[in-house]
Amino acid sequence: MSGQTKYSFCNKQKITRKTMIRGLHSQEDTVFWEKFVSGDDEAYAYFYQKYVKVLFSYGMRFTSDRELVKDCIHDVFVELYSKRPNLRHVNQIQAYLFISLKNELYTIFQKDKIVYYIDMQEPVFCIDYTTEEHLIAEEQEIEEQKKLRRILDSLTPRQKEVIYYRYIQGMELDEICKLMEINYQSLQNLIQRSIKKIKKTFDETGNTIQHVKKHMSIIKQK
Amino acid sequence: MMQNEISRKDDGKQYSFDDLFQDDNFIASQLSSEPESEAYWNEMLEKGLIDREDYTFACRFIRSVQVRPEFISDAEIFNLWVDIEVTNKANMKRKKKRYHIISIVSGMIALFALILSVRTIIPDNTSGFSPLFTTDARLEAGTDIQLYLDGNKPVSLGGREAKIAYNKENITINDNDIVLKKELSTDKKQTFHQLVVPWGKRSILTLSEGSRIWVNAGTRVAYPVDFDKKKREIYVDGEIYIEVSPDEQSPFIVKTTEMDVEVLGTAFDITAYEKDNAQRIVLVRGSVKVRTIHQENETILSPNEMYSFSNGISKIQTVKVEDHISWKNGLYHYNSEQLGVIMEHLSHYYGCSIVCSPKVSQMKFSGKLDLKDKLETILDGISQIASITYQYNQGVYIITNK
Repeated sequence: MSGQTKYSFCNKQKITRKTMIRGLHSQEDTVFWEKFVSGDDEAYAYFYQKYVKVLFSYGMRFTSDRELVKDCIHDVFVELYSKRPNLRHVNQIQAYLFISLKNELYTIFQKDKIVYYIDMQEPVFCIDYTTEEHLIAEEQEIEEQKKLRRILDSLTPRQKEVIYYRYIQGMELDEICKLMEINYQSLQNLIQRSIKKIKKTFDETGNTIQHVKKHMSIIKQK
Repeated sequence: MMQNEISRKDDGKQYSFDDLFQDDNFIASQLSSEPESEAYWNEMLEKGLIDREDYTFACRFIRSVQVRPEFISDAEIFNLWVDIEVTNKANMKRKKKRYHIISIVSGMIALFALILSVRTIIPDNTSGFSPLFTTDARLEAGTDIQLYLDGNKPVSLGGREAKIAYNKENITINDNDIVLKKELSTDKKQTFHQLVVPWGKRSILTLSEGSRIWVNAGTRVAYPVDFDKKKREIYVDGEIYIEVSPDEQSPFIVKTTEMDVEVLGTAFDITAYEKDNAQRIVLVRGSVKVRTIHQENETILSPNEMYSFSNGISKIQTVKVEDHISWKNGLYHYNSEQLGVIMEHLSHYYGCSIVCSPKVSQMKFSGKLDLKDKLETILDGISQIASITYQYNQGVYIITNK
């Protein structure tokens, strides 16, 4: 019961703050999108400039072929330009671009199965995590990094993909649903399973309380 | 109230591992750390609502899992952009070509109509827009300004600018350089002449009833040699600035593919290139009535208003008139305008493709550009005052940072 209270309070906080952060951010996009669909080429350049890096990085999750990813980004933007009178309804721009790029890539993968499907069922989504160099100075830190790697390795490609959207791109659940072509409930389940897996691997890999305590003191100092 | 809820939470259930991972706010705070949200989570920690170990791990997990962004260099980004722009322009040209084929076909039918029955077809034929234009007129940069008289014999006019004036008996060109006798047709019906101004040139046309038209680059205008008593109609594909001579008995109508503009004694600029999907009217003086082919309603404009029509949507906004009509004096006039927009105008005027890198296209400029200059001269000028440079490659001017 008291748990309920906690959540409702938490939700209120969440909404105001989230609308603050994402609201500002997407408001700018919405204004430019409006301009773009009514024929403004500057707004078109704005979206290219804003999203080309993140799109490239996203595309590289599916393949290591840089030129292929660039070709697909080319096609995404050319199509965007030619379809623009019909795009008035789009409101989650980043998600829309991600979906378009994923579709372009998958079309190529389908076409050139021999090249891209050598020994896998489907294109694998992979995450490399950053090695924050200032943190791995100590052996203990290296241990910690290894542990994270083990956790990530234990995830299926699909779980990695959802982690990427949720914890790296910070996307909303409904955006992820569209990207992964699954319904809300399945997405919830997928995230639940991923978290369980993370937790399990985390527990298995042993207790690092000592390290945690040290890390906490760093956080407190901040 | 809030305080109450928080204190109630004190003896409430803790944030579990799952809760943290599912919390939008928690994720957002990890992705972009802000003092405010950090304070909130610290407070939760202080109150013991979150297990410190869980919290540390969750933070660490989300922070560490951040992918190393795949590196794409600025040069790659720019080259990709040029490729995209070139493809887009090629696609547009393909669309244009498709249009030309249609217009040639319908143009041929019209040629027949013109030859066989000039006297019956032209007046009141509201739907017959394109047929009035000759099919062999060329708009490419470098061709001469052409004046099509009766029977489709074009007169070539050299130079970057031509002045053509119609009066009772004659047509004078460039202030009496050439004087043509008007061939008055024996029948009483209207005869249409046509002026074709290619890219990179301009003309000033005075009609027989006294109205003056400044014709911008890449534009075709068809007009009667002598006007009907009851109404005056001209046809435009491109951009004109017109000062209409007042005559209450005989309304003046400018027709474009998408719109009819009825003039009530006035000066205005009309931009209606058939190949563009946006058409615009800027009113300087007087008032005009606009009818579009997509809408029943008429719109009446006041001075300093711009009516634009794009993809079936119309819009009215107040504008600085000078910015839209300075071309008639051979200048483009800018007040803190984005370079991308300026290049768009220049590419229109000179009839060539210009591609800007995204960064460059957002630079802002004020001042005047003299359209008598060659395009290269203008680009050289701009690259001297700003840190840009340009190169010409396969028919496209590419403008980049220095």
